[in-house]
Amino acid sequence: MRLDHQARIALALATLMLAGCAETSPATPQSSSTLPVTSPFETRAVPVIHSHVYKAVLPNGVVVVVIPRPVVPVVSFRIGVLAGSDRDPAGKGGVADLTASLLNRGTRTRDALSIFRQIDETGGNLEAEASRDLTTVSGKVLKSDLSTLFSIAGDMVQNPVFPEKEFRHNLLQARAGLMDEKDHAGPVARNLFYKTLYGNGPYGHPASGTLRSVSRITLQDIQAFYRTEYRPDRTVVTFAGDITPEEALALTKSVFGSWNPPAPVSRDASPTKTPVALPSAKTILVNRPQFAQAMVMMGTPGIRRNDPRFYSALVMNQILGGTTTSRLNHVVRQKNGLVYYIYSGLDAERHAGPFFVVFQTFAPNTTKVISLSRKLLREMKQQRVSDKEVETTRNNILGQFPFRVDTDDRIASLLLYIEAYDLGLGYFTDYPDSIRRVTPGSVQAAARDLLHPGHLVTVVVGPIQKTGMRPNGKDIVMQ
Amino acid sequence: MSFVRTAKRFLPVFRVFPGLFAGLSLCIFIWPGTLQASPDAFPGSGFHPTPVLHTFPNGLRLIYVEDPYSPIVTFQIWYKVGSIDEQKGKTGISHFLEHMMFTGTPRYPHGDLDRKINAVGGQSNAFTDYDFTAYFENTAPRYISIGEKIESDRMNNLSLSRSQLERERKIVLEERRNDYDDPTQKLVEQVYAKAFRTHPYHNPVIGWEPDIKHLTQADLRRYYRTYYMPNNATIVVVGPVNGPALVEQVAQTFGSIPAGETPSPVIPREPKQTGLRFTVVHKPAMLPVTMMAFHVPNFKSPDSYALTVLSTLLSGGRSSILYRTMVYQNAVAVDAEGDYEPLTKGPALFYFYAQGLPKVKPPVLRRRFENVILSLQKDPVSPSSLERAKKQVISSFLMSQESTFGLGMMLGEMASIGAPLDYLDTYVKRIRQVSAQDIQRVAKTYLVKSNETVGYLYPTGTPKNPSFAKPNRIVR
Repeated sequence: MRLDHQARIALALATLMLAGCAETSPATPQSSSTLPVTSPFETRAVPVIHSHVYKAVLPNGVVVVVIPRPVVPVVSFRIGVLAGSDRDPAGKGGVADLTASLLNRGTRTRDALSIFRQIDETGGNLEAEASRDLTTVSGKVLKSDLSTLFSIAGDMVQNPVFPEKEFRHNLLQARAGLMDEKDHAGPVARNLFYKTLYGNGPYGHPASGTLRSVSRITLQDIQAFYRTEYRPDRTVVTFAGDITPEEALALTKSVFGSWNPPAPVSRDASPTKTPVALPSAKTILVNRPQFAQAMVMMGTPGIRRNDPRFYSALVMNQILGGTTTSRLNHVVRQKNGLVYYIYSGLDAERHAGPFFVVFQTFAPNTTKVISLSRKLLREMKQQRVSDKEVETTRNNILGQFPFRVDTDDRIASLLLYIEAYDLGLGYFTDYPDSIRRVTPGSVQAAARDLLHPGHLVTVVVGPIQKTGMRPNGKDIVMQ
Repeated sequence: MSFVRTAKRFLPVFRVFPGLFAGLSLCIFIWPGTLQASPDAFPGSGFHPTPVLHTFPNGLRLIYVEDPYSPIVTFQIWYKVGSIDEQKGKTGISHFLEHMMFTGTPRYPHGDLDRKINAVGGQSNAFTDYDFTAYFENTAPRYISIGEKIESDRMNNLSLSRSQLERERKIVLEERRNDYDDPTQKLVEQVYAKAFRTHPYHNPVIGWEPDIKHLTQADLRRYYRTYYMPNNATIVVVGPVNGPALVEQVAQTFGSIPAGETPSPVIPREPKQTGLRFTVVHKPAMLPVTMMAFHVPNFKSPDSYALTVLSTLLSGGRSSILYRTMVYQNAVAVDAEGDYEPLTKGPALFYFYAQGLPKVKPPVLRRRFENVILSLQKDPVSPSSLERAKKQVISSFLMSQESTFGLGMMLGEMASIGAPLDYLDTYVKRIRQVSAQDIQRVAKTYLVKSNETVGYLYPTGTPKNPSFAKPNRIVR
């Protein structure tokens, strides 16, 4: 291990800052005791990696968040625009993602091939895509080439020109990709499951759109989406790695500082209300006679990320199906050997996603695994979990926390997530605190609120005849 | 969408649990490069990951990197055994045994390992590949002893009970079925089986289904005794550890395990290929696929550096030759790649892979590849594209060291295939030395028909888009 002079100082500073923070309660706002009063940054401790998180806002509204972590001379960054496929126009699922895919296909001063070449010349990576709540441009590069790559990314976000030819090309590629998905049970099951639960709601369609919705998209839709959604006051830039807060702020200012917010375009209020009514139980069977296995996804609507029940629900999910020792794993895999994997999930972001169970199994075992899962859901809902089980699970989640910040890419993405869902800069201490406050009682309450074994929407993709499933009048069979 | 990916994702790495719980992306493997230990690689930087090798009296090797910045520690143990060591009729035994390693010892019965690791929020998993089987425990640094205890115990005391074996067999068969249903997986498997006739790379790592069904308790016991011993293993640790203290700790937990007879498996050689080979898969699918594989040398050959740069020229980023000529302009494919993995114990493959646009015939994709190969053989690549590709290779190599777990994986893989640590010291220099003439030469030497295996996936009986049918009716 070698540490040169500079690194020793950095290490000493980090230790000092840590000591400074130990005296202030993490819950107290403005606990930025280590920075001068004139600092442009709001800051909080990130004890898990002996660092700090810094946040500043440019006059045009662009938010900058940084965690310095000088491990190797590499920097990861994210440019997030707080608009994803949840903002796709009705019936035109895929607009946000197609818009993102066109960012590197030409700007006012660069054509697509120049952008491709200049990105590759930095030796780094730069990708743009839309997820449900966010459009993200992600970069990772050696520190020496950071400003070049970040400037290209800034140009893509602020000055895209959306050439007609490029639009047609990406549409063709998107359609091919969506066709390929039909060969895979996973996306087929997932898309149908979400569609059944959420219909025309923001999470009713995948970010990629569907073959049908994508074919309705026009270049005008892309341009309109860009004009409405890409704005400095909805943009968050995050950095992690070998970079100081001052460097990050200066770089962001130079690239995004003159991006002026256009006059607001009228924008429909986000359809934040997801249907809260419980669906009636329903089974959808998609016949894939050529498959050996059935893929099953079953669940009901859940909660949003900023729901106060979130942390209790998280502990409940870990107990039920979130780990290798969870109840679902224990019974279905470890005791009965019926699956290679089974897990449950809590999909909670800007809008309420579902609580679900998913597995693949040899087709003849399908009904058996479904009924074992239902039984475990019922037990979870009806029987109080023990103190011991909750304590073990809290420790499990606390112990996982360092893995959220063990690479620059993970940190940069996490910072964007924190901003996108308004979790606050205190996240790095709030999160463990919130987990520590979960009790058997709050887990029980979350289970009662969230689990509805009598209302499950179940999607099965596989060789239906071999699964032994006998569809009744309410069920839907798809070929 | 449209991420640039490499075909390495199609070479399955089999694990006891799917990636769901670990939250680890195996994309870490995408990069063929390794660690740069030479200080001048990072001018002005404070931290130079420096691997240290220690060998214990019982033959166990320990490679560690002190990384004071990491919030986690990775404890990994790598056994030099994989599907390359398997005999005809017993394929899949390495991977099956990997599963059995989680089924308990007298001290830690089935389920104990998972409970111990989950109690501290750690990650534990294992994977089997052609050349190695590896196990790891990633935890907060203060829990490193959990990994040490688990691994030292199951290196020597595995129960391998019959009832556990039968349950685990069912799970492995489920895992096997997971890839049956993937058309591309099937094609890759067949191309490997064609390209290697006598070498064990002929067999899929997970094994052929009839073999998995017939492996016995005695087979597994014998295999365990043959390969699981300190002198056939390397421990890799990366994280905020103190080297000398770590050496002491490992000596205490593993030092009393006696060395065994070092395995010296006879691995059949692959005779030189003398003519074009073909394989065709007809499967319900939406998109056609073409794969072309060429035998090439592995990391031990000086040509491996030129082949690495060649694969980046072909598909490193969107300015690469294949992306530009097959995906972007005159598009025939959604994805087109030229890929090479030098870090193998046995002979390596250089392969081309393209997933075509709907209705494009697989031979059309092959002709496009052939045009690219012809021009690489005829004219030297331009200085600017060569420089760009080299910069990409070197940057990725350096960037890959930022992940604690990824760094450990790289070191473990090297140790398992017999790549010395000084391979790292010279890596950047050797990449920089690659010339346009080298690229042209390796293209002429290896990318020739007599050395080629072609695989086509023809979509048949294309599944329709799901459409709603009347309830209560199943139309076959």
